[in-house]
Amino acid sequence: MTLFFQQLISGLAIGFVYAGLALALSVVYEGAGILNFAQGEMATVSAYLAWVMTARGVTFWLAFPIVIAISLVFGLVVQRLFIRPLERASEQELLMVTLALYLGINAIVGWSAGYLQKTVANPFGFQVWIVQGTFITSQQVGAAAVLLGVLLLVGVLFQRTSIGLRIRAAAQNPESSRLLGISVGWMLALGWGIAAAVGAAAGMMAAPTIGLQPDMMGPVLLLSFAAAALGGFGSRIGAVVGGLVIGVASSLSAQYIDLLAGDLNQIVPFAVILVVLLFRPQGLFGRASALRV
Amino acid sequence: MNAARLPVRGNARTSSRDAAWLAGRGIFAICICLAVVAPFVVSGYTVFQFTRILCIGIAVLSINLLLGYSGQVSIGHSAIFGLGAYTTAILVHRASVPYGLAILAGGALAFAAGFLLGLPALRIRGLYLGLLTLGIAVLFPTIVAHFRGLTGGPFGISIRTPSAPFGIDLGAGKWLYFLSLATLLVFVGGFHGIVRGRIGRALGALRKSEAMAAALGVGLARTKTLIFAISAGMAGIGGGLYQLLIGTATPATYTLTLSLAFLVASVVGGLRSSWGAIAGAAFVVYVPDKTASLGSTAPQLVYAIALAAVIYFLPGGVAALPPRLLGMWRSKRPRHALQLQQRGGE
Amino acid sequence: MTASSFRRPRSLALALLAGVLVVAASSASAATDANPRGISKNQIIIGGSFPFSGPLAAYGALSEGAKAYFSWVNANGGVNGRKIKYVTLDDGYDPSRLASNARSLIEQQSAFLLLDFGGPANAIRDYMQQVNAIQMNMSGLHDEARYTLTRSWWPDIRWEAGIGAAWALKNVSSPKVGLIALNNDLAIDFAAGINRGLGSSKSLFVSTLTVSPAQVDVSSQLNRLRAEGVNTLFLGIGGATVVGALKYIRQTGWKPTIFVYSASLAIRGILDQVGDIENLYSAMWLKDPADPRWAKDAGVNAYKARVAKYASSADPNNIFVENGYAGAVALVAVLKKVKNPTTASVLKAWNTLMPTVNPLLMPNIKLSRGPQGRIVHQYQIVKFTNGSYKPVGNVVTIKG
Repeated sequence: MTLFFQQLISGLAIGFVYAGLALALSVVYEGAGILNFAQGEMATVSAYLAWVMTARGVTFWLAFPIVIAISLVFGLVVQRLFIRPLERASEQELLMVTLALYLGINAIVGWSAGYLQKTVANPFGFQVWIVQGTFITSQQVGAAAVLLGVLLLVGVLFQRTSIGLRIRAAAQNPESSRLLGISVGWMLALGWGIAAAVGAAAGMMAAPTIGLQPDMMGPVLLLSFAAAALGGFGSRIGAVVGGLVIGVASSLSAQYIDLLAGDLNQIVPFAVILVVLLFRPQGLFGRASALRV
Repeated sequence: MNAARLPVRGNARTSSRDAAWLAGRGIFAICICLAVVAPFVVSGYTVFQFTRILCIGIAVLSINLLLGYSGQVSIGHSAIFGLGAYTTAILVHRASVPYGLAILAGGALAFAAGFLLGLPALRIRGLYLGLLTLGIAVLFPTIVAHFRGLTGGPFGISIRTPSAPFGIDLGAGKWLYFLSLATLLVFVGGFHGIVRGRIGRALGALRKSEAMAAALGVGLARTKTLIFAISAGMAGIGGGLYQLLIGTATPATYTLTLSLAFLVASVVGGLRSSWGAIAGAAFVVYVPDKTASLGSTAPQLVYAIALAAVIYFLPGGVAALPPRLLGMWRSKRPRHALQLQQRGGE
Repeated sequence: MTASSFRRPRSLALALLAGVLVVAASSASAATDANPRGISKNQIIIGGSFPFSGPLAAYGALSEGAKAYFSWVNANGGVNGRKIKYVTLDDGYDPSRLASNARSLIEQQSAFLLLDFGGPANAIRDYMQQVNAIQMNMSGLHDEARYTLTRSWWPDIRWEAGIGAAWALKNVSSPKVGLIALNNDLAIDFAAGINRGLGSSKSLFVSTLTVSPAQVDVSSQLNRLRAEGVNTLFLGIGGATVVGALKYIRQTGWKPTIFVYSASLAIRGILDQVGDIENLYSAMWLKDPADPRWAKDAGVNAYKARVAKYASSADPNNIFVENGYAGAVALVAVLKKVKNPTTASVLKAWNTLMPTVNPLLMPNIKLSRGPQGRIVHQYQIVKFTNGSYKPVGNVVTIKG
């Protein structure tokens, strides 16, 4: 049973990273109706930004909010520059644009930072707690706590504040929102900004564990796609739950299903996607009516 | 290229179109002549590169059929291409099957795989299909590397590039070039047949509105699945030829990166054009070679810029460039024909 | 149809004209040489294809190191009077791009021999045999018996794993061995090597977990091995994953004896992130340039100075830069033994190399002919302590 909890903790710890990126994906999805393939790369940029600042002597906890703020602006700018001109474009075109962003950002990061992994300090130190024989590291707890805080903050922002309500209104019903005097374009851009900020938090929290290099978020993005599909695209709570479930499912299957213990563990998230698609295409938390045919 | 249209032309307005059609035909003839002469005058390396373009061109053409005409996104064509390649390699290497038969078997297997993939695609929107095929692309190398007994695992499986049959005096490289060229031409013919025929009309209705097409009695399910299967079959045969060319199939060849290259080629070349597919294939084969001196990440950056440039400034890709430059057709054609894709579900 | 036949002569004429143009253009580039390809009186052309982009782009640094040494050689008289022209292309770790690069380098650039890296090199071995050109793989490949023109720079992974396992058998009390390795040749070779090293005690090798390169977090695999009672852990995973794995091991207070694959281990970029970790071993053959132990080492300092001069964009503390540099030193040492280089004579010089000092190899390790055509076949077991590798025991030599 100890081992079960140990694997649960491992799964949850990485699951929070998936949840963060999946939440970013779902915020963008709500506004633009697409999955942003560049979401992971945008988070990578943020993680590098944090590294640049800490390498110049800024403490991590000062760099963290600054990077979040810069990332918010970055997301906003990306939307205004690249997505807004294609307002009337098809899903496929938007998908291709995010692919272009993915390739472009990845190339620029690789070109400017090189491919050698950078040294990132553990912002939470190297402590460990042992609860009934289960090891919980300070890095796991700290990263999870920060990400949970960010996720809650985003939840409050969208549910309880007027700006959040306006973003949602702009995303869900642009025509009526326009009549109500909401600046739909800017609200959608703000959605991208918030997504980038959440992704930035996920990237900065993941970097000490998965290593800071240009392709760090590629595998994470795939798992976050699975998380978003599981939760139901556009559902924020679904994305978070989906991320945690994917993290835990990967971890537990590696322990208890021998076939999936090794390299075939990669099948788990995609098996989840397939099952969701076949049996509950709207995802766990999505509304069936959201499915357009 | 579109002979079927010719006899119905009667009025004065079409005379300029006839001229354009003839010019198109002339260019096509020139291209064929050049393609036939080329391997005898260029170096072995260039023949190799040309053959790569042809094989990748087949895959890109299959993407065009799928994405350009049925609006379905596949990020998994690297895996389907790889399925054709591995089937060919395994049959030739382990069972000494003649390579022609092995390639066809690879195509058939890919067709079946595409059919299976197309089944859930019926229930789901483009986004989900994108995810599902993305999963296939990511998992393929892992699965291939895992089942070592069959696939040779990470070391791959090697076969030799075959030499020409019937004592034809051609080097192996040239023979494979002509084999690929002939296959591509057959597929181009098939592509136009499909696009202009009954399936094409059904797809046209489908693209405008799935709901409307369904109301009109177009067999939505059957058509979409069939197109997916045909596209996969084409890609599988392209993969088989590619395997003969490269010689060794390794898991690292058929990764997500290859799928992304196919998509870039498809969009840059022009989603709804057959020669655009070849132009796109040439783009992804030559860009890494020609831009590498600018820096290691330059090719990827060029991909990104080209992709974005086409979407923002050149809907229809490179294939739309000549008519644009010449100012032909452009004014007479409905605008949406040049666009990447009509927005569905409206 | 009448209209089209009317136009056809013109299109045919155009086709012929274009054909003539192509002939004219291509005949200009047709190569003629009496010497072996790539060798002239004052030049030797070496081609290189490496992953400069893509997920394994970190290994492109090997080529930068090699380039720095070639430049230094050129500035100091060249190889028996011949200057090295080093031409590189990026393959992104994609076998089909390597296949294309190999043809380009051999046929277009007339390279005499080829340097490449990693598993994709399997895809061009047949081609290299066909064109009778030497392929020097900067990592390690197999099957030197069948592919007589393929030579590896890195020693066989199985040797390294075997040495580690044999050492653990002697020095760890009641060892229980577990392995986490990438699902490529690493996993296969590591497992084979461990089994060989354990000899008749194979039953001590309790668990192998392979992971895909996309697996960013191996903590659940580590939990599993720990729960199985593993106390001797072999890690054959990529550098990025090694960092996460070692950090997790350190944090959870697990203290197994750890052997890390030498090519995934470096002070710069890996161990400097992990900090103090106990019982970390490796079987190494190259001095880590970031190791303070070699701060006053003449060979390492000369290397750093030359990299600073000839490859200013490269980080001399990056072990892959050094690794590629050392490989180039070895290659030049072989080429210098031959007055008139041909594929056969260079290969013979490689295969009969007498013990040669390479200033970047660990003390008491020399290059020389060895089993499987490898010229590196000696190791020094090291333990990582206080930011430095401390040698443990004597140099181990593999006998074929």
